[in-house]
Amino acid sequence: MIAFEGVSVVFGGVRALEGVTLSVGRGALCVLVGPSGSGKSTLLRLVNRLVTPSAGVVRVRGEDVAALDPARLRRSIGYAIQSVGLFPHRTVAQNIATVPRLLGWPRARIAARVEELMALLRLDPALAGRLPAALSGGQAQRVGLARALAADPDILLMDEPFGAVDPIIRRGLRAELQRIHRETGKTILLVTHDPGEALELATHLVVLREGRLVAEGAPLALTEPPVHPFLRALLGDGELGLRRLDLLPVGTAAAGAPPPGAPSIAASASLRAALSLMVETRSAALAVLSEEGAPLGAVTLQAILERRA
Amino acid sequence: MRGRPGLAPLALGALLALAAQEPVAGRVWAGLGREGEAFPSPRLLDLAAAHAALAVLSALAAAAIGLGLGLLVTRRAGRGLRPAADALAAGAQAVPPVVVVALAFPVLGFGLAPTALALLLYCVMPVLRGTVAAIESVPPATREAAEAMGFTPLQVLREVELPLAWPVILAALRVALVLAVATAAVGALAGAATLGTPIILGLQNRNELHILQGAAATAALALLAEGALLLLAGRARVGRSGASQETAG
Ligand SMILES: Nc1ncnc2c1ncn2[C@@H]1O[C@H](COP(=O)(O)OP(=O)(O)O)[C@@H](O)[C@H]1O
Ligand SMILES: [Mg+2]
Repeated sequence: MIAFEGVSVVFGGVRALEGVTLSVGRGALCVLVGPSGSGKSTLLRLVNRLVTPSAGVVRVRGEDVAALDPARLRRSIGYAIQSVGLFPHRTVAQNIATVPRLLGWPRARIAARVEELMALLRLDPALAGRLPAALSGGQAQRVGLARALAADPDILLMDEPFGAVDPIIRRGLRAELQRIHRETGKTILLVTHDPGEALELATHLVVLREGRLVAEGAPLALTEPPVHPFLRALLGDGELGLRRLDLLPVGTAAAGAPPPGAPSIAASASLRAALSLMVETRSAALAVLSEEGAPLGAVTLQAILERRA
Repeated sequence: MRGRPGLAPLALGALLALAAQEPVAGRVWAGLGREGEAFPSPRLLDLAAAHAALAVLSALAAAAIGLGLGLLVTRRAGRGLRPAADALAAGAQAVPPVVVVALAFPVLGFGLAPTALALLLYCVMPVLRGTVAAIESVPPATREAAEAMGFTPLQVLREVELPLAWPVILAALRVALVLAVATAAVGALAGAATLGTPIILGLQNRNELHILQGAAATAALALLAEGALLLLAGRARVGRSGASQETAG
């Protein structure tokens, strides 16, 4: 869906990206991580031509973006950024309607779409006529997200879209994004500096360092021991092992029979939750139960330690 | 005075305009026990009309140039011209209009032309500065979002930059017009028919009343211009927010 072929970007004397080759398949939720200044935003902005490569080719839906009309390309790609950038002189409804209006949708269709999106992002309909200045940070980011989704683009670019909201709302928005991704199969390119968020959301994780792509793959594959020290520092915060267990459901490690009286845990819970329960209950084995409560076997401390992707 | 800016300058302007009229000024002057004949009202009105026309046309030209330059140097392609435009405008305002008139009349002759040039040069800078400051005050994230949503450069200007910058630009245009009205009196030195004419005549004939009438009429015109534009700006604001309410749903 999106492909970078040997792309380099130079700003003045600064090399922002160097020889990046990356392919993002249709329906992927590709998360870009890396230290500040490593080129994540630049990579994202290449896709809708906000940045022009100094070498290499960027393809979107198979076409070289350099050959496409920038305005039309951008209208076909959703874009949400941390600073949101709502139009201060336009109401919430008008902000959300931006791209449909540029595309010349009929009024009734736009109005219906705005209503639908406000419901999807749990925005109070009373906000529709307000100006952005009257919104809280979390509301503004949701309006920004609604605006990015308005014309139902098949590609979504998001640059730290949940940066300015508190952790609880952030978790909600993250779940919302995951649901939208699951339900619509959009191709999403997301930048985040929150490693937990990256590992949780990514179907494909891309790691940048000083403008170069240094690792890519599924989160489980990238966190398979032994992990390179750079990745461990970037993704770990000292708990990379636990974050990895977060990605693995208990059901995948169930085997044998539990000892009598072992505490039980749902098969859909994460191995991290299982480990935590072991510590809490001082037991090295747990009984794994299906959703209906049927026994599925046991998960042991040893099985958690030996679990591979 | 909330919601009706402009009424105060309009009222004060009307009062001064009245005070400058022959019957009023003459009577007050005589009442103060001073001697001297008042400048006749019909002529004063003719001069006021010429004065206003000169100032408005000069300010319009300055607005067109200032606005055009301001928009040009805030485009991506025109950014390189910014220092040159700044220097030009600063230089143009640093030279007092009297000097411009004096320097220009050997070339442009007596009367309107050197005065119009002086006013134009004097009024370009506030418009240019105001336009550039207004456009630059548009938040970068807003401009970037507009670009990323697929606005063409012209649409970014028309639908995002200008609406956000408009109040500041309008204020700059008001300053330019008031400046032009207040300064046009110097044209009398070069023989242009303006409200400076009674002042010059008064100085020549030692008629203080003429000087006061000319000064009062000039100030009245400047205040009326200020008030009218404030009122207009207020009305435009009301009109715009009304429109946005209507299209909100
Ligand atoms: N418009 C620009 N002009 C000049 N330098 C830039 C510009 N955008 C980014 N850079 C530089 O390119 C590098 C990568 O920036 P960026 O892609 O924003 O990194 P990240 O998003 O990973 O923090 C940085 O060194 C940054 O200073
Ligand atoms: Mg960035």
